[in-house]
Amino acid sequence: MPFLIFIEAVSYIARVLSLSIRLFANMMSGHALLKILIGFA
Amino acid sequence: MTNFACLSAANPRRMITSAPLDQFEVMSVYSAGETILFSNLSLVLMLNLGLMIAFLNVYNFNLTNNYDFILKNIYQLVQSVVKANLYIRKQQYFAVLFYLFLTLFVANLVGLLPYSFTVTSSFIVTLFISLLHFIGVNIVGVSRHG
Repeated sequence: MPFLIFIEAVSYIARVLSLSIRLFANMMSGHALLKILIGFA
Repeated sequence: MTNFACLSAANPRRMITSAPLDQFEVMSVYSAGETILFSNLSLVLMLNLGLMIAFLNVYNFNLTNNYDFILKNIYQLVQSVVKANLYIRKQQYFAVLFYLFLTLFVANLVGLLPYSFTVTSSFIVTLFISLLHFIGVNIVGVSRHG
């Protein structure tokens, strides 16, 4: 049971970092891809 | 602090270059001394805030023009998500979720303009948003619903 509490707490805290990194990486890769595709034209 | 100023002073027309990763570069637009630095990140953040305020400032909401219609559609979109995911008593926090949705929506839409800057592609902004809501949700949840 303390092990479960520890795992749940870690996942609860890591969700903040994980979701913010996900938004950041998606925006960065999407706009870099758009810029590269525009550069081909 | 002075790195940004030197960088933009040495290369003032860096925004127009066409390397793919140059669009994410934070550089100084206006800096006074060592403490005040106004970068393009803060410029676009203020632009986003002004756009959100101007978009939400519908003083006579009666569905007669297109802006009212767009605003009503976005409202109903967020409301359907909130209704599907929260209990009826927790739906009082709809305003926070609507503001969060509109912030990211406006930021990504402004970032699609050419020669603009995407605020959500800098990690400090997304980390700030997520930490702000994490701390706020924990405080409200423990103090009011605990």
